[in-house]
Amino acid sequence: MTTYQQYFPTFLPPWLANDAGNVWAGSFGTLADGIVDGATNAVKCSIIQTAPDDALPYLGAARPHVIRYPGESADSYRAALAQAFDFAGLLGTDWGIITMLARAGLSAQIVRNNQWNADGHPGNVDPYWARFWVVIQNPGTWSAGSRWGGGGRWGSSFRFGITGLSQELEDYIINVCLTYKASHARLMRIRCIVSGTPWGSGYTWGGSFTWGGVYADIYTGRPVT
Amino acid sequence: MTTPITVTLADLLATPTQQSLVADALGVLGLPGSPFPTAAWQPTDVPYVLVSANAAGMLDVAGFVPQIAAGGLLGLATGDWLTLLAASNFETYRNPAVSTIRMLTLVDTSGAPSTFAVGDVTAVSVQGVEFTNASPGTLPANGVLPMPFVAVVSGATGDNASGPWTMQTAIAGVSITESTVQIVRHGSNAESDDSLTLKCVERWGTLGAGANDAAYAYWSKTAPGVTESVTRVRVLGDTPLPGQVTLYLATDTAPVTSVGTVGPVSFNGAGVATLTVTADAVAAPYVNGVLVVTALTSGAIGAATFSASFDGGATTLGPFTTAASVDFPAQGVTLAFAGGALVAGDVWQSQLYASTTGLVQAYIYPGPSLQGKAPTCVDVFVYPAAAYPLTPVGTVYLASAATHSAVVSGLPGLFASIAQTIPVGGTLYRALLIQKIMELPGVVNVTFTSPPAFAVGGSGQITLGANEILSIGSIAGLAVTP
Repeated sequence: MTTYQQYFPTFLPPWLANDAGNVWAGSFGTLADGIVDGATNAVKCSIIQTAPDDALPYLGAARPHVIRYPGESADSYRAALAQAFDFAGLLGTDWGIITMLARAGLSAQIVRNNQWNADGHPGNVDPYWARFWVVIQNPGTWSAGSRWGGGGRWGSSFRFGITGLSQELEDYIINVCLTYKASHARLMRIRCIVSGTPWGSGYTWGGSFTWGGVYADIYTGRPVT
Repeated sequence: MTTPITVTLADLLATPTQQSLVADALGVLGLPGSPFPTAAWQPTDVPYVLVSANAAGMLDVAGFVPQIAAGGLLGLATGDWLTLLAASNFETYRNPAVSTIRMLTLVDTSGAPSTFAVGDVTAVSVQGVEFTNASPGTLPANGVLPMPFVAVVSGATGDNASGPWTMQTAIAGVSITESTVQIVRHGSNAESDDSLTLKCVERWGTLGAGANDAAYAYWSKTAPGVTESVTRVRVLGDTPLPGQVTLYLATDTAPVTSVGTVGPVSFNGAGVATLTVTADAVAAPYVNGVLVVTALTSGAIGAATFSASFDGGATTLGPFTTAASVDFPAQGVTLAFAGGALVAGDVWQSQLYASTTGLVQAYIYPGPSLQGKAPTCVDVFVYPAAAYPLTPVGTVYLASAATHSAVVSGLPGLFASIAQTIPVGGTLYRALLIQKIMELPGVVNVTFTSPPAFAVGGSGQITLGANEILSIGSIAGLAVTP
């Protein structure tokens, strides 16, 4: 493909088709080439695969369900944005929450009201049936913070902090859960497990369930009133 | 082809200048080996002028580059670019401007009935806003006829029109009144860029296997049959209980209200004691709908007491006089007349206006229509937002009297535009209000004495209730003084 810088000089009459004429006409073509390049690149800004890195926040804002996790590289985020339709299909589902948290290296389980007896209202009983809990396992980088100092962060609910769980990651977890949960479902807690077994053995949820291990709740939903 | 470009978006968004294009051209002309002494050229030299003139022409074309870059990105695209982007990428469309529809009442003193076709009557408000009748009707002799009138001009202007009302072309023995302001469709300006952008983003939610908050918001804004411009939706998930979703709806200027004629209502016969809504185009539950019933012959309904049966329950709606305008809260309307109230040969007319909330609920809630979009077992409640009236009292200080009239005339629009930006259940900060007022030419200071939150020592913010939108009342208490 020729450029305008090469094309414009072809219009010169023979008496002007010399070095000076070619440079003169070519300079005009340079401006046209710059506009063509600019227009081409401008279009590419809206295409996920070709957009420059500084366009990714805009492409992401147009796909807010593709949530960028803390520290996610541009390449990884770009690849995720390209899957926006796949992720959109998961909105309103347990699997959407699990999948989005897995992108950040987190392993999560969704516990529904009919899977345990949290507060004396087990089963699919109105108006408690649409409640759920999110339990997130230690990705290997969390440790228990102390009540005072020791690197743990304190929340408003006077809980033990978790060293290694950044505010940014905590915000990400909450954002994922609230974005992907079905609107009618009430998220009761997001529980981050630091160590120990949070529920009996074998992932069996029983009526006499008792939380164990060391954990911190980073989100608490409204009680049913 | 599929690798990211190396030029930055920031560079592409930069507006080119004639100088930058001249520099580009001179850069080529001044390359080593070039015969042109570009460094010595002065702005008035012929070669420089020619280069500069060419750059000026190219500048118009180059100016499209930042437009193209921004036009393809949600959040940067504006105006027609955004309209196209929304339609193309999100199958989402900008709401056009909507004209106000309000109920006005024709009164006959001529002693003879009059029949009007749509558009026969043009009413003019005291502000000069014109409305024409949107439905036909017959005005009984010495009677009254409430009718819907639609503003000739689209936009929010019609909402603020008020009486006394006159008729553009006088009809002998007929006058026009508005005893109670009853807007059955709020007017709106064309949907703003911010609103359309948000609606595009919410579109993703509708693709989900479940229904998240964004999905409910989008459905609320795009329910078929709704002719009000629903641009603000508050989604309260798992509210009031788990398994339920509550929605509050508003236009850019007001809570949504009744809209669209789904009538007519038909009677099962003169002298028979029931009246049933038979035409129901969308099987909508009627929430906040308006039913207007008029007796065209004297002495009938005026002596009647009639009630409505909603979902098997009974609600007393009467007694009424010669005409009734009724708000009712449910579906399946049946009006029961007291025995003997109707007279054989009586002539009636009636119209039913379904509400925006009713149409939205029918679209979302899988109730009687079984066509709702919400998941099985989910209860959905749709309500109009509530207005939180703000009547500011304070003083706007000017540097001089020269800008007084401009500031006074600019304040109403400024307050209205601020109110539109506050979402349902949002927060109005005093700082925002002051900032916007200070941007008016010549304003040097602003103080408030009311509302208390904005006065000295106040919290500085008004947090709206979950269902509230900001509604600016009179700003007459805001003095403007040099």
